[in-house]
Amino acid sequence: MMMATAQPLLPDWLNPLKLVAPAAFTKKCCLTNACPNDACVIDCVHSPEAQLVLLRFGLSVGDSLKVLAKLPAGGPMVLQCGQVELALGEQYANEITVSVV
Amino acid sequence: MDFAFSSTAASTATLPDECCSSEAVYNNCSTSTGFSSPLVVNTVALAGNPNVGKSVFFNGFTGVYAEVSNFPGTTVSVSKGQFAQFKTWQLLDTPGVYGLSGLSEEEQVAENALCSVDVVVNVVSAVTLERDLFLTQQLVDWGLPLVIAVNQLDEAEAKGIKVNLSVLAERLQVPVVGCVATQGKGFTTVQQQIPFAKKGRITPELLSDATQLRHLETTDKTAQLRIYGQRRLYLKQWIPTILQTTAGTEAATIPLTVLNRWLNTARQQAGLLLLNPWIGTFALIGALLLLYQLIGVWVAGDLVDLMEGLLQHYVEPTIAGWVGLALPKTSPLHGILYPVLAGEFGLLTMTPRYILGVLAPLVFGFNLYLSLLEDCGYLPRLATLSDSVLRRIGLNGRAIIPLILGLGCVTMATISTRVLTSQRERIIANTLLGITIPCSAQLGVIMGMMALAGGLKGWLVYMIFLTSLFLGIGTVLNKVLPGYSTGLVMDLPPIRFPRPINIAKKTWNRSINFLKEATPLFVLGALVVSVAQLTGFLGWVQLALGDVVKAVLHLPAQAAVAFVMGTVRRDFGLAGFYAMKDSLTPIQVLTSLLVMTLFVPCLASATVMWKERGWKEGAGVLVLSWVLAFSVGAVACRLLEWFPIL
Repeated sequence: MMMATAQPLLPDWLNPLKLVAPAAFTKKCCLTNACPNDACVIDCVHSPEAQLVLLRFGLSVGDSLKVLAKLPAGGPMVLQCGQVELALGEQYANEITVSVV
Repeated sequence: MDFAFSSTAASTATLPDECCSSEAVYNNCSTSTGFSSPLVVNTVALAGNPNVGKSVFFNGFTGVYAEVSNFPGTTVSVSKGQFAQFKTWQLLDTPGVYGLSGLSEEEQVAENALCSVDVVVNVVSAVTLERDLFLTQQLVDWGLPLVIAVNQLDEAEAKGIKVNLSVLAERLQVPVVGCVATQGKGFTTVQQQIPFAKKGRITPELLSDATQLRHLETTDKTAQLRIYGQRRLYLKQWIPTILQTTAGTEAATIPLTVLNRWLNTARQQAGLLLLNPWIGTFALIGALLLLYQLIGVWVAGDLVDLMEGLLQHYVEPTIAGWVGLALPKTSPLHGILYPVLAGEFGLLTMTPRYILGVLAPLVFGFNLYLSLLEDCGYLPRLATLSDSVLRRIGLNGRAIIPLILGLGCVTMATISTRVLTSQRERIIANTLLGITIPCSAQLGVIMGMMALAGGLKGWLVYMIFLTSLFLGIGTVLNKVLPGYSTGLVMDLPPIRFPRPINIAKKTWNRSINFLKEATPLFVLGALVVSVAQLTGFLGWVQLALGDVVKAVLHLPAQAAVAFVMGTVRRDFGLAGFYAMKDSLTPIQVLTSLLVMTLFVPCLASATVMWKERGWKEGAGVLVLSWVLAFSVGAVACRLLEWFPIL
């Protein structure tokens, strides 16, 4: 049976544990909200089209990637997935939920 | 370089040709699948992901040059050739694809080619094996007889990656050969293995669908997603075993030398720097300024002047003399043939001067520059950088590649719009290519004439007009056309030092092909204009259109002749303007350059456009270019007269 997760009372920036050891925590967010140098694990790819495209590039749920760069003005994200460097447009990045490790 | 990596001999990656250890590959085949009688081979196809080196294999096997570049999407159609060693075998080089399901036109082209051959040589990169094996497994699942060529072992070694080819062969149950294609290593063994190609081990979860996999994957989206997922899961289970090295060490790594580590970091940092919006923009401006210096100043200025002068002062009088001797004034044919052959627009005088003196140096110079840009890995970074701009006009960053290739030759670029996924994107890209992108020959003449229109200042004004039009047309099409555009997903190949031999071959090949395509049209154009001059039609055109040209574009009446020449080829028309450059003011130079840039596409690119996109779209681009060329010219000359910045 799944356990219900308690709602946090304080925002992240007021959590003393996160200030001490931020790496011990993971943050779930849309890939577009991840920052350069963030290491992420793919949690969910929402649309079937995005799933198909990413599968061809060797990416699926559970795979790790690193954000190398994020271009401004809704530009693409540059990701490192294994040895492959990939430019991923905002349209696809919006469809991906990741855990930032 | 020693590729027999230093662990146990039987289970390591080897280069059979050089290391005399082809036994490793043969043994793998025999132990995993057993010997079988050789296949009867008539046709072989090369398949693989983009940018893994298929075209290098094609060149190595056939001895015929197929274009090789450092960006995904170099090959968009099927190239055919014959094996140099096995004359009865035909080889097809297919476009690079990540999977086969008809997602784009290049995938359909590849799928049709692969399903009609006897053997498929699947080229994979040792560096990106995890990704590349998806297509391999798809080919195995479709039941195609395969030989796997694991390429770029040298790059993998430099990155500290080690591939266990024996385990890979055992897993897939097909012959696997290690290669470094750029050095020709492994070619002989791959060819020897072709008759022993095998249908491999199908993804176990897909066995029940085995007979109809191709049909399901290309027609049913839901089934496709399920099949893709199962295939990827299956690959995830065993891929780590082929990247494992000796027991106890970290998977997929071997010690890196200091130099390799430094080189890897430098390449990655250089690639990332080019993606920085500020540095990337400066790099683009730098690349354009270098292009201006190289083509506009050195080639169009110095080299073209020298060549044209030599031809005009030494070669043309000699030819005219010979024609005069062959057709003396007393001959009844002199009056008709002499002007056609050696007159002002003569087939033996003006045509060779334009082709050899003006066009050839410009086309060679431009193609050399473009080849350097392509091979160093800059174009995919430019595509990434330009994505947010191109999205506003209904394209994605990938479209920058055909648009940049269009600066070399629009005909070639029209075909390469196949890399774009949706019909809508292809229509937008083709329209922009047909109207706003000048080809290398035009660009060379434009740069040469730009010195008369204020040099860099004129160049800037010209670019502002052209960019505004580019964005304007794109925005309108994006609003008007139904459907939606796809997002960018693009592999960024590593920054590489261009190989001089490839640069030389590509430059030569493209330039010669361009000149072969342009020369007959130039000859035809010269013939038409000579006959028109002889019959007095040209004078009539000048009279009839001269006033219109004067009133609308504020150009001299003779410009009408250049426009007539431009209907055959835009660069032919530009060459006409080039001939009257001394009598034009800077504003007139700029107006004429703008009109000729936007003028009708050349006959070859119009034909390809009709073939690729249908006659309606082709005719639409043709009409739009006429209307736009004269409207923009009329506005530009008036604006420049009101604001005399030149």
